[in-house]
Amino acid sequence: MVVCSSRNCHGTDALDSDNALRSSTPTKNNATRESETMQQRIFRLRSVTLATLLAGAMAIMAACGSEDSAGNGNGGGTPSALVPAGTTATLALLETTDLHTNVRSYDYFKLAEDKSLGFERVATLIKTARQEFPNSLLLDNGDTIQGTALSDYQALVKPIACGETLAMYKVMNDAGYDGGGIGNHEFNYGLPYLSQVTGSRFNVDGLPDPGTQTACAGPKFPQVLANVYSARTHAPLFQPYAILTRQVTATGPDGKAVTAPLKVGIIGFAPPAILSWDKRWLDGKVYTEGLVETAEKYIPEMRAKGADLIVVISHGGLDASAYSPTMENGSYHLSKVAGVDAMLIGHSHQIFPDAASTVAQFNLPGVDKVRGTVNGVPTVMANYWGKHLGVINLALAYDGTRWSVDRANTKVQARSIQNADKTYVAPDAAVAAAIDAEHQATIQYVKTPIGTTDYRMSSYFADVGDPGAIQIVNMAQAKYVKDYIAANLPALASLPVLSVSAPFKSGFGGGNDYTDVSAGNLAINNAADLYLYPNTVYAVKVNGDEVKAWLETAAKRFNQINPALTTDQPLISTFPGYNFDMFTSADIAYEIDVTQPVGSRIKNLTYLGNPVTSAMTFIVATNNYRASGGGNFPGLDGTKTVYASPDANRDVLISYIKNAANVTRTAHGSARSWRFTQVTTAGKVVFSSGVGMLQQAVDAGLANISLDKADDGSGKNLSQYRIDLSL
Amino acid sequence: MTAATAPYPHHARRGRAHPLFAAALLAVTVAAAGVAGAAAWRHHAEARQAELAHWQRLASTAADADALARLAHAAAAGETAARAALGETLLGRADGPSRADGERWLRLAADNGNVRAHFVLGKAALLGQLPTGKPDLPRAWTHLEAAARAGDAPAAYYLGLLCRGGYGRAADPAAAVRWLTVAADGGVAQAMFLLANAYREGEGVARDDARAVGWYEAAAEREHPASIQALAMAYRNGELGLTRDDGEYRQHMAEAAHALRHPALTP
Repeated sequence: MVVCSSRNCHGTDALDSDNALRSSTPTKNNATRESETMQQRIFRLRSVTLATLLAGAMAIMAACGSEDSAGNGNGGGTPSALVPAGTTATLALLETTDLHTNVRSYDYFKLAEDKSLGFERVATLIKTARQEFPNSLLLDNGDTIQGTALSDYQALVKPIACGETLAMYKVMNDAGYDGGGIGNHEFNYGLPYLSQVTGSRFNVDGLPDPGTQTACAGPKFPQVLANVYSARTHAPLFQPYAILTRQVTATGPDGKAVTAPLKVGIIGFAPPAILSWDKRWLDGKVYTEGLVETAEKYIPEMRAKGADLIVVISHGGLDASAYSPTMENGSYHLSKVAGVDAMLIGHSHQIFPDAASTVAQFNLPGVDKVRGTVNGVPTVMANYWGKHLGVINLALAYDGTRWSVDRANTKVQARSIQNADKTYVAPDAAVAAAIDAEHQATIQYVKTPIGTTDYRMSSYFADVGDPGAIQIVNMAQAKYVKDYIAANLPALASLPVLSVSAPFKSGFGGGNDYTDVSAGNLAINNAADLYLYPNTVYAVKVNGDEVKAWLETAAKRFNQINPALTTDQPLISTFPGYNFDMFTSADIAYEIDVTQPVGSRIKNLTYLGNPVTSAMTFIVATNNYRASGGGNFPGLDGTKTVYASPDANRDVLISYIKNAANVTRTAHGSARSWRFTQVTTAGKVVFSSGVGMLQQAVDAGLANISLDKADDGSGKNLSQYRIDLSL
Repeated sequence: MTAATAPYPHHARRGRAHPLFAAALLAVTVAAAGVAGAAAWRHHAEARQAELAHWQRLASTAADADALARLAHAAAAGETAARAALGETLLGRADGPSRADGERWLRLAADNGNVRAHFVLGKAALLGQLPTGKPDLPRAWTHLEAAARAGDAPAAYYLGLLCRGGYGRAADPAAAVRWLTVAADGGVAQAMFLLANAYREGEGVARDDARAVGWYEAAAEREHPASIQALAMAYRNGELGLTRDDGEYRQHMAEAAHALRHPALTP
């Protein structure tokens, strides 16, 4: 380094250390360093005027580029004189994407094997492909470190130490990955965690000066990300690209095997929308640039540094609508950037190529879903969760000065771990062995009791007034929202916080389709029974009239009952149980008068004993589905949301139970906010529920329920019960 | 990129022309220059938009003072798009004076017909995010109608909400469906979801389960969690004309859980 000072050329400590840590060959080390130093310099000069900036950057680029080329003797795109024109080769790009820490073929919620997914099976496909193709590069597209109980365990439950490598990266290191991209989910656990587990030293707000950070264990392959920048330094968070130099087996014009050096540039992109999705971690700390602008900036630089091929690793799907720098799925537009030889894409959890695909993004003009090209560029998307391996077998030709891709002879495939006969390829046993301790620890964690309950928490009689399986959800949601508002939304702190939830499992599917958690220990997997849907907590601000309208809609759950009829009348309508929102709190009370038509059933609605009016304002904790308009409740159209939490209702429930430790019927399962308006009916009012469950109604204190028929005749393992509305 | 390459065919063509066709050549040249000029102008406008958008991103997501200063300079010089970008940036800040300044710049841009400014002001007026902290429904209607009529899909979405809920006027479910359709056609996933709900309930439009499923699926493809969940529930319970299917139910549940980490963004 003659022209540049060492400080200038190696300014970003985080990137530089990455480089040293990951470099497996001196050539790659130099190549990546060149790219990083360029970033550095461009940043350093930002405050100067535009003209000076450009002039300066170009001067430095020229100086350092040529110098580094001279230094390592293979830069500048000058091919080896030993490779004759007419030489051909193939290079297979092997892609995994959206693995989401599915290392094993295992479902941690069911605590059972799931052969339809898992890196341990993709590893077998990788081995096969390596035997098949003489030259290959194994590359990952991102969304790698988050998505299973295993990833949560390592990130949140028992955070891994600096010297440890994440289970997912451990098996990827063993598999000999050549490079990887960064997806949006990599940011889910925050920047300090991402910096640690990738062996980086991010220079971002919230982390100490990179010089004082220790680079932790991580992937032994370069990770590239070109369009996410530190707000503190304006330098890319990761190295934007890397140039991998490999000796490939080729065929000379005389038909004889020759070995030729090949420099493959890989460049990574993440969806710019990470700034919204992980706002709580990223706000003010990083920013994104558009995919196309970024590619147009770096690809010529990569070529100038000798890259024979440019492989784009874009964590995003295809979207042909007008380009914008913030668009989520920018890979379609990336395909049109000059110099792109192949694209490994992901994020959409889809298969490409796939001749049978009906997915809109693969039926766009310029997209060949049979051959696997996007505007002519060979492209692959390898599904998700380790279900597929993407293969682009590039046909390469050397004309004496440069390598080019022979598109006509290039083949693209997404290979499934499922065989034609519906069986699955065998797992690579080495994968399970490498992470057995982490796997077993995760299973133990999922089974570990998070608390106890002194009563059987069931939804058999939730429709007729038992809050036993719902109240704990409401209590957890209300506390979570109350705490958040107290800490973050002072303007709303004076408003009462209520919560609604519904019996998600209420017998539609038969006698087993009820929430039913035994008394005794509560484990993590019981929480999925108490809260079925993958929702996040939302809080809405509504007035008293809107609360009443909400309850009127929920009360569609019931048929209109004619008290004079002497025949049996079924109580429950076709309105789904999952929309039967209810309060379960001593603070709010109401009656449902089922003799009235829809819209006029809610009576005597009071809050702390006072009639609820339009002048009253409430915060109601609910979920993303309801707050954004699910169930078509009046007024709930997304505009009432005052807090859209990133936290899952189920996780909020788990932490509430952990905190409470002992769940009791008295404290968590007996607050009846509502009851039916009393009315004497001439005939029976009936409903169905689980067989032999009458004691559950008794235990809930419902004295007006009796067994009518042991078999309700539906053939769904249900009994018919009677409710006496006069009691 | 296109600016540098656009003039090239014109020069190439001139090089091949025969002198006898000088007049024709002149015409062609003038025409080609006109085309190239228009392309260059368009490119210039696009490049300027990209530059303003870049400064706005830096100023808002990275709190970059230099970028904000550049926007302010351009706004002060009278550039409408810069005024809109500056206004939106400032309105998104926490402090009162910035927000008031933001509203002022947005009004100037909106008065000049800037669609984005109309949208930002209209949305803020609906959601109570103007500096007053209170909803201003008449202004919401005015600005959102202006932007939606100019073809802005996000504005069409909010105008659909206004029509659906009334918001100071009589609710008009049929108009709501019309505007939500404009927004849904423009790619707004949350509009697709509400439109699906309208078809499902027969609200403002004839009940049509197949269309409801179609819009839920379109939104699901854009990772709209509530739409994926609606499909999951429908497969679980055999709703919307779908056959009960445990495999589809589980698949959609898993996708809904996954999509929650990166939901389709509401404009």
